[in-house]
Amino acid sequence: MNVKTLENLWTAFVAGERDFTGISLVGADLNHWSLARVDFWGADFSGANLAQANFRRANLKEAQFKNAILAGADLRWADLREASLTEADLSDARLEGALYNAQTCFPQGFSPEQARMWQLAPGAALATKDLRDRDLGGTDLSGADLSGTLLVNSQLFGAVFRNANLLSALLGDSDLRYADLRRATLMLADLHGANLRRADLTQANLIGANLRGCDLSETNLNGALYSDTTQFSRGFEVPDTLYHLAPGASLWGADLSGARLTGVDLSGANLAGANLMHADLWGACLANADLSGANLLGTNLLGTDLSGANLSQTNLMQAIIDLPGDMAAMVSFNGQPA
Amino acid sequence: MDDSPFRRIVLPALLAAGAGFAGLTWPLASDHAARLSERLPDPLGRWADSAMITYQHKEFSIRYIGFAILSSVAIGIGTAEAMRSHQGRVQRRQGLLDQVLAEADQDRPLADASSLDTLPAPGAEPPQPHRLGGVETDAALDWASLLRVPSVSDSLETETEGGGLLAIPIDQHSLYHLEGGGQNCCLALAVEGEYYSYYRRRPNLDRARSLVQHLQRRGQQAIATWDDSGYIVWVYRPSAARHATPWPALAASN
Repeated sequence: MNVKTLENLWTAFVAGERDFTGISLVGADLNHWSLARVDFWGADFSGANLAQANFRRANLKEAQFKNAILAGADLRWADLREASLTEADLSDARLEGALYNAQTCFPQGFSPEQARMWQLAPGAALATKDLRDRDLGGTDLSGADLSGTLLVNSQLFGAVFRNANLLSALLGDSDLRYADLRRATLMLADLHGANLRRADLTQANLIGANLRGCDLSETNLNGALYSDTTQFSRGFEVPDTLYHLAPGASLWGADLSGARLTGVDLSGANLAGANLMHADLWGACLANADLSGANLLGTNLLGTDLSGANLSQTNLMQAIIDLPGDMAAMVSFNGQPA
Repeated sequence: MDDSPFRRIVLPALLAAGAGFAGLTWPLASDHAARLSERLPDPLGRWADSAMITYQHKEFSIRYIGFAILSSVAIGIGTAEAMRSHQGRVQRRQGLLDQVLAEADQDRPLADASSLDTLPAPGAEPPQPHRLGGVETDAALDWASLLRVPSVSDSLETETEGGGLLAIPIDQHSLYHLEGGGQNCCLALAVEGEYYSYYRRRPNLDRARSLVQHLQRRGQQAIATWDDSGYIVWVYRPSAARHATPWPALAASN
């Protein structure tokens, strides 16, 4: 690393350049430099002096920090996925909200949880976190809890959100092309202006979601759930492969397994033969609904209004239930313990 | 024409000089100039007066026109100098950036220099397309052809000209999900039976090219595709012990 390269880096930085993907800054002295939000994807900082440097929200994915001095550096909300921090000096470095994954290498004895870093992995707990303006394309977040998460203007091309909980998540203007959103809960989520072209939303829960201004061309919406409160773009014709959840709806034989249907009003609906296995119907209204022959195996029925519901031949095995006395008698009559 | 010195330097200078001359000689031609000259403070007002009353101050008027000509020439030269300086700054900035990135590349040893594709010689035959799932694409490693594509629109044009497919639109590829093998699920592209997983989206050709070259130097095989919003870079992933699920036939679903 010669001084001239550093001078040129500084000149380009001052001139407004922010993309330094793959740059080699081996042994560079960047002590106290302010490099917030700069893209250093795959950069090599081996042996560099980065003490007190500001890397806030910087993209440091796959960056190399072997023997780098990061003492007192500000790495808050930086993307450190697949970065190699082995043998780096992280003393007094601020890492709150920095992203990491299983491939990120930390110095021995370092605990990312104690440093309050956020792990991006399947099943991760990222509720209400700020992940806006990030390049998270191709990331596997299947089954993750992203309820209320801020993902506005994020790059989510090809990301995997299968079975993820995106309840009330803010995904406006994000790039979700080719994203896998199968069985994802997008209930009350704001997707205004998001690009969902060729995304897979099979059996996704879109109840109350805002899809105005979304590009839904060639989007797979088979078996997705929507309600009267779901807002589609003007002129969008809802395909009949979607399930319309409303009082009195005809959902005969519908596959609603694993769906989060908390508080949904399905009173008087025809759910005969429907598959509601492991669905969450907490606080839902199923009064006078026809559930004959429906599969409610492992379904959460706490607080569900089942008054007047037809439960003949309904499978309630392992269902979480708080039926009143008379209903409990009916379950017992069916010979299926709750 | 857009980047020519005439458009960037000479034309603005001529326009500025013309505007300057017109402004300075306006009092000679305007009826309202006399009223305006009365309001001007001395000696400017007297000067303007004498310039307008040509029969009384013929010599002075000629001198004034000479002054106007010289001033407009000075304005023109000044504008040209300013434009040239600005242009120089822009070029210097671009040069510095190129140098930074070039030096960064030089700092790393090449993992496998022979694997790098080179720009084909002018007039060389375009690469022969390969078959991919019934769709014609140009190669498993189509970077050589991608280098020849200056932009998305150009590549589209080349495609329609029938000169061989260059950068391939993503829609024409076979997409899969790779799962298992103890790794995270990822979106992958199948090219001649090999899988390339999604790596990164790049906004333009230069960025995509830099990234592919960077990956190749690290010993990773990479390809790039384009779509309507930029370029997608994919890296080779051995598919051993991983299950590939085809991306659903989306077009048929709606």
